[in-house]
Amino acid sequence: MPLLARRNLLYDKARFAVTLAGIVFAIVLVVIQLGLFIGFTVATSAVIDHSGADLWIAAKGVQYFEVAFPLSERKLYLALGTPGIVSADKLIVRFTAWRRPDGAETNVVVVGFNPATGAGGPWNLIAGSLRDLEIADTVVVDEFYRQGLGVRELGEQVEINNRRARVVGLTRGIRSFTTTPFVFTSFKNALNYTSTAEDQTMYVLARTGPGAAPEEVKARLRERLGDVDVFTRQEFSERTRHYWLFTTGAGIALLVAALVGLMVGCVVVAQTIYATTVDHLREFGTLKAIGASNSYVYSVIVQQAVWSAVAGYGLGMGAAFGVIRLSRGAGAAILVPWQLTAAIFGLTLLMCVTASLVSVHRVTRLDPAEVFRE
Amino acid sequence: MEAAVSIRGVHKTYDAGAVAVSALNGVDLDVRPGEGVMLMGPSGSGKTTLLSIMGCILRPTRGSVRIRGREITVLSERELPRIRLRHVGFVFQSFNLFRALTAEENVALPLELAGKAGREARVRARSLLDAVGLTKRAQARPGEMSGGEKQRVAIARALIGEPDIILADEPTAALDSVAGRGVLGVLRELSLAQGRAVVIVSHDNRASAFVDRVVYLEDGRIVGPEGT
Repeated sequence: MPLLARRNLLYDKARFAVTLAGIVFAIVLVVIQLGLFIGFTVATSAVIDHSGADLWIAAKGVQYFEVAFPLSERKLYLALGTPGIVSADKLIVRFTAWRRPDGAETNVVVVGFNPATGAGGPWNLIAGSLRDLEIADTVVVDEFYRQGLGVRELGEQVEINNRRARVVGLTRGIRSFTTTPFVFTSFKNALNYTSTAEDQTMYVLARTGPGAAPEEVKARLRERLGDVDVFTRQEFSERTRHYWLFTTGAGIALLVAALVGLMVGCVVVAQTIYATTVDHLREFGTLKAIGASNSYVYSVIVQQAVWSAVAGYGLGMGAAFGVIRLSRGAGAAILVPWQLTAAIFGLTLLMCVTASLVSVHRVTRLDPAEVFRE
Repeated sequence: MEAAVSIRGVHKTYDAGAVAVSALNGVDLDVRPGEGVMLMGPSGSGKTTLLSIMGCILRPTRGSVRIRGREITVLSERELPRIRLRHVGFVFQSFNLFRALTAEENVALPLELAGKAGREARVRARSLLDAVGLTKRAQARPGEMSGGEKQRVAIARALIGEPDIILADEPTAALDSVAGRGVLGVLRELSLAQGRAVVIVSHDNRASAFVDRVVYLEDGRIVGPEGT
């Protein structure tokens, strides 16, 4: 790194601080918005993604996970008899009413699954076990919703759809995309909680055998089961995500916000880096006059931008994770996978170097003879 | 003896919209190694244009410019910075030091540009700061120095690359008379000792005491050389 680049950066601390503030602002904005987007994306299809099922069978026309139409139980047996299927389970997903111990009511999404296989059930249990759900009238909820559901401790008695329910387990990190919490219970309990007929289900979750191609088995199921929709896990996950993020417009709003954050950040960073270069224009003119090559002058400008990016990235990610930590108790999950942190680093570098290249253009046009003009 | 810089039939015309303004009209000038020349003349006479052409930062419209016998008007834009770095030292009216660098770093900068940064550059910079009387100001930044001190740093910077010619544009204009005389004295003394040619543009008649020759320019022409 040329000495001048290093010294310029550290000499005018106020300007460096303004540049860093611009970069940090951009990074925090983009990380939070994209983290929210990813968090929502993951939340919308989390149950599907953790189901362990290779194929999801639902009544025709299902748009997303939370709302499905009843299917005859017969479909389960037809699926089990289809070549390539080694196991299948029923799953109920339905909105219903939850009455807290203090009498207040709220909506929940009951997810009734087979505790013996765990297909479509909860994960990340921090208290209790899936076996506990084999007992009648037991449920598992996420610790995040405890307060909203009025669950003070394990064993708390509540009512779901006017039926008694006891909380026997807690999970961590299972949030729904909407504000309505998931309540996991056994399929048998869920029939009561959702007033579903005993011979009906909402989904059939099927596992294919080793060596069986899910796409081929899917085609066979369609043929055999007739008027149903069959999706691979990936397809149903994407369908649900697409519904929540794009059909409802929520995802577009988040993406637009992230894009606006990125644009605002870029403008702020470009403006400060450009201003820094312009502030040193006379010095760059002197450099050119005393014999610096254009590439040397550019390297000074670009390296200043690169180091600003590196420092701004460090501070920005620190600030972003601070905000994420503070927002843990809030309703929205902000997920920042390593791929996003790497992408943000690349984006920050790109943003700063591009901004510096805009100012390099100004220096390119600089006439060294300017140094003789007062 | 081969001239440090030799100007022959140099013309320079600027385009000012639809009108062409002639700044130099057939200037001939030779400056020998170790010689001090002062360019004088009214504003707009072409002094700074001539200085810029001698310093390879402006191309003449017509004519020949040779530095140590090498024709530089035929060189590409890409080659000129290297010629400036190798053959020319500049001293500017406003010092043009780098405010983020210490005096020592400012002086050593041309060596860094030439790819000779490091201990040797620092030693050489310190030795030149000693020579201009700033031994104890090596770590000071321009903002902490007086005008006279800054111009001495600029002189040390101009000399560090061992150029053939030093071009000084109004080096005393921003200084009081005592500091100005000190700066001119140092410039003359060191350039003589090292055999560097010096060309000074100045409005200050007192500067003529520090050069061998004064050249008068008027309307882009040399109207009278005068030995001192």
